[in-house]
Amino acid sequence: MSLREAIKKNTARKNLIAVTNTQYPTATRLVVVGVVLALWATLVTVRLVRYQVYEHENLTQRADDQVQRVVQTSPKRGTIIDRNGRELARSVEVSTIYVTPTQFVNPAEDANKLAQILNLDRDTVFQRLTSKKKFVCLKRKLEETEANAVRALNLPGIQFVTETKRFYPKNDLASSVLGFVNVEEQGSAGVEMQFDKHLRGTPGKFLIESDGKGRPFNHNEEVSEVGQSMTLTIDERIQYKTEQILRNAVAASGAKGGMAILLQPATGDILAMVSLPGFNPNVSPANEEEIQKTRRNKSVEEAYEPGSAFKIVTYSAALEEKLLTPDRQINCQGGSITIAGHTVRDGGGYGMLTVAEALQVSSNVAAIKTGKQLGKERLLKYVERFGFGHATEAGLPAESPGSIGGVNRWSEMSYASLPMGYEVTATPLQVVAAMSALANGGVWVQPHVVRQITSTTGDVLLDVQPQTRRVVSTQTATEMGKMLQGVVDRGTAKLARLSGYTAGGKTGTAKKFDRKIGRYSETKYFATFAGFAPINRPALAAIVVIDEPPFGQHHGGQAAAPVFKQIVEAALPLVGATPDAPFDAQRGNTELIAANEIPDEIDPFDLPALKTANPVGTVHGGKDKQPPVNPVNVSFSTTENHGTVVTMNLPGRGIAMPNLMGQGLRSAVTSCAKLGIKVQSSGFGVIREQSPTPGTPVPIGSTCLVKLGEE
Amino acid sequence: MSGRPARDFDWPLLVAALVICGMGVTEIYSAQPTQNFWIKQLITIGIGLALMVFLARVNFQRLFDVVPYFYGATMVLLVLVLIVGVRINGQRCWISMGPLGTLQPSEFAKLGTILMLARVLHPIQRGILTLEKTLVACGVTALPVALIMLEPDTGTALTFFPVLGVLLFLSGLNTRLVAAAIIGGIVLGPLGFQYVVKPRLKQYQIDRINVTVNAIFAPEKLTSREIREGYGYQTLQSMIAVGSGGVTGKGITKGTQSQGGFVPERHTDFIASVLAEEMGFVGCIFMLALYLFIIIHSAHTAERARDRFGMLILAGFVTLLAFHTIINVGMVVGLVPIMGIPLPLLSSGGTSVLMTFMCLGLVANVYQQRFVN
Repeated sequence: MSLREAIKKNTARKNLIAVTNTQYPTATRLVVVGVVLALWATLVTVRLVRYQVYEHENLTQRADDQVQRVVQTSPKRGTIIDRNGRELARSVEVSTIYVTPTQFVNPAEDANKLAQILNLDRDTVFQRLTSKKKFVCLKRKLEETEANAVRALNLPGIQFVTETKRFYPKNDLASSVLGFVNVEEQGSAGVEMQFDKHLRGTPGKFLIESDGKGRPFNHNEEVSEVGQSMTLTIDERIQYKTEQILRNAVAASGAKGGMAILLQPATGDILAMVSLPGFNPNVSPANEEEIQKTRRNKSVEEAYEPGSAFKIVTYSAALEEKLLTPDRQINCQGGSITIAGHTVRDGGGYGMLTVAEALQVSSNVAAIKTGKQLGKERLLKYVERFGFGHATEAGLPAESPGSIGGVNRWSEMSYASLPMGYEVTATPLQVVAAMSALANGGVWVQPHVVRQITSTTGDVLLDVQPQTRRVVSTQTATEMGKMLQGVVDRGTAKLARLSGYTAGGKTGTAKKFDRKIGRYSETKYFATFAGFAPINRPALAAIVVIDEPPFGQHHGGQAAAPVFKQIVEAALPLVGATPDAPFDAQRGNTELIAANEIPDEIDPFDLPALKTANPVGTVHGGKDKQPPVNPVNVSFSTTENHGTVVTMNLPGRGIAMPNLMGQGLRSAVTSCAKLGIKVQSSGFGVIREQSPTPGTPVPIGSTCLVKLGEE
Repeated sequence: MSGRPARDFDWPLLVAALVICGMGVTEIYSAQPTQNFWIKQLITIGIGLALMVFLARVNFQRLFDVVPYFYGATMVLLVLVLIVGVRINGQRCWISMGPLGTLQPSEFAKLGTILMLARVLHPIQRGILTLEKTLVACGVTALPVALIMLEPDTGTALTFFPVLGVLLFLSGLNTRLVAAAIIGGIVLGPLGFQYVVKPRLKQYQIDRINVTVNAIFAPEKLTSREIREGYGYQTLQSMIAVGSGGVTGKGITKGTQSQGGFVPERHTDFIASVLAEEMGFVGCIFMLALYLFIIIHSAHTAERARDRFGMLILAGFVTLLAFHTIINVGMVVGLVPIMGIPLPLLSSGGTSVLMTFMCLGLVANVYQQRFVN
């Protein structure tokens, strides 16, 4: 180190050491620093409070908006089962395709492929693939083949979202009761609509999160909640038979359509309800017009003039008011009566008839005279008591209340028309409910189609308790029953006479009011037969209405009564009615056997008839014939929901579990339903596992568990 | 130097710095979980700690001696970076060190300039700072600023001016001059803009200025059109990230805005946005408190310095740290326009961390000196 350097260094050091703090006002200058910093900290804190406290929700919303796309997924609707636990409607899981447009490297080419697979317009697909939106729906509710083909493409921008689709395993069966759902899985008719909020469940959410460049980095599925399950009062087997018989009858006669309803008089349970032409609820309707034309449940939505079937109200009222007895004579005046210048005629030139006979031949003169005797107000009172003019609230939407006008509005002619069923409109359901009240000893029971609604955990949420009211005394009801039996045995409805059972009922033949010409048509009719059986312990009340039967065969007794006979003969054994009349020699128990050959889903051995004390005799009908099969190991057990359940192992009647592997859920459910096997599924895709394994012998009615997975 | 007892070490400063570093590493990991930035950050923090401890024990006389060489070396690096630097986004700010990562010479230049300014300005004089000294100080600052502007990195170049200003101020720059400059700027600036600049602007340029002003003063009023066009986009995204954090935050690695890449430069300049989103208001206040503690503690230490050299170094560092913090945090909460200035210790960036720890070492050094006298 040179001297010069040493001096320099020394000077520097001296300078360092010589300094003391008191020589310059650093304290003041520190205060300046402090003030500036405090000011800044305050500004920043104010900003933070503003953003993170006051604007927090707003900004969180903006944050979520730019990150998330939320898609609502349709919930899984609850299942609908019939009174015996058979599935009528269930929801299956299907895929919906969403795309994230940023992810398509080659949208033009991908659009071609996707359009071909999904059967969509190519340009529409291209538009969606190149959309500025982050998440676009490409196609909803794909068929499984479509979904698999798209999966095979393995494109990065494709997102499968699980949705559900309503599936009716038995297609047309009970469609007018069940209704159908739209693409949003909302009920659009029938009980699906009426109980939509129960069945619907809670929609799920599919949430996709994408980054600043639109690339998805996370997705989340909030699973929808299954809706509540519903048990109908419908008996699938009776429904099936009723549909089949009515459809054949309508087709054979060339009528325009037909309706039929079967009720259990004591409970008001609707066992079957048919409105033809029916529809397949699995198929989406093309337009609103098609819905109006083919998908209305005319049994409750359309009121018609019931005609002579309405006379049961007139005579019940007169008997109840003690104005008449069944054997009181009425002068039918040679079959014609003139009221306010109009002449009303009977089918024949009757003279003096008993009341019962007048009903048998359906004399209009007698009915008008009886109505006159009752007077407007008393007649109206009974009309209302029998449930006319008010919707029954049976659990179906768009129910018509019918029309009974008003007493004051009635002209003399109108008033004269009422006792014979004109100038009054009613739905077939109202008519059969009135008939059912007579069958039930004079107590009207609200008809209803839903028995129970249960939660997913099995709790009963709604147990339908029908309203009841006495409309006439038991004595009147009994007398009416005998008179109605006379109609079947000796009167206008001889074709309704049953093999093996007594029956009563009333025909109705009403001219259709033709809106085009503004008056009653001379050729178009509604042919009605409403009745019940057996007479002493009625197990069924039923109505059959044929819409525009061929002229010449248009009388209720011709067109509707034979259909009633077929339906009720098929249904009575199924509801456990005890035969109380001789069987027809030729037919024996063929009708009963016919009831057992329902081709779908139906388990022929689970007949309610078997649940009675003497199953063999009841099932069999014919007294000295052998039962078709020999049940062994019959055991009775009682469950809360189903009453007594009979389990039988029938030799040779177990079935082999079919091989479901590799099938889609829908086809599996269909094929299993045909065999009487229930399917419980989990997962998505095609069936990868099943239990019991294929070929295992299983009793009918057992459940197969399947697990689905990707192909 | 005789061994100073460990209890005399500036522990509060070290703890505060390490807590900030810890929060920083956590958020760097959270912002870029797939990258190894957080590991690099941990390593540099380790090296930084060693440097801090070393500088805390170094003799200030020896430091005084090596300052010109250090300053010279940083200037050489600044020239070097212009020649061999890695070009990223049109800027040459980094020298690649192979597997050791990258070096940002401009960060070291900050420290070199502070030290050089302290050395130039440290002699005591009576009265007003001489013009000669003022010019030398300006020259010492102008060299790195010019070199950095060539990279070009305006944000970093900007940080030198407050340091120069404060050190001149503390060295006795004519206060009237300072006052006159401040008042003149406040009055003439807007007037000049209104009557000289504005008439020459086209409508779209005025729109852009309005949007920028909006982005700073009322970002929630920005329309989606403006956001799409890019003005204020970063400010807006930062605001959304901060605001959606709420009081307690979304939780570490739960920040959708930073994870989703909506927040720009999320592990470097906008790391505070990530912190605000994930740790919320509580975390922000805690972080601010730590920075304020370090700044005030350093300023306080500067005031107690035995010598003007040390005092000026610390004052320079305090200014630098305060400026960085004010601008960066201001940027994140939308008080200041966007410029590329990181938040020391919190932002990912090795050289910045090393430089800051070196400064902290000098603060600790001065802090310990008070026990000597």
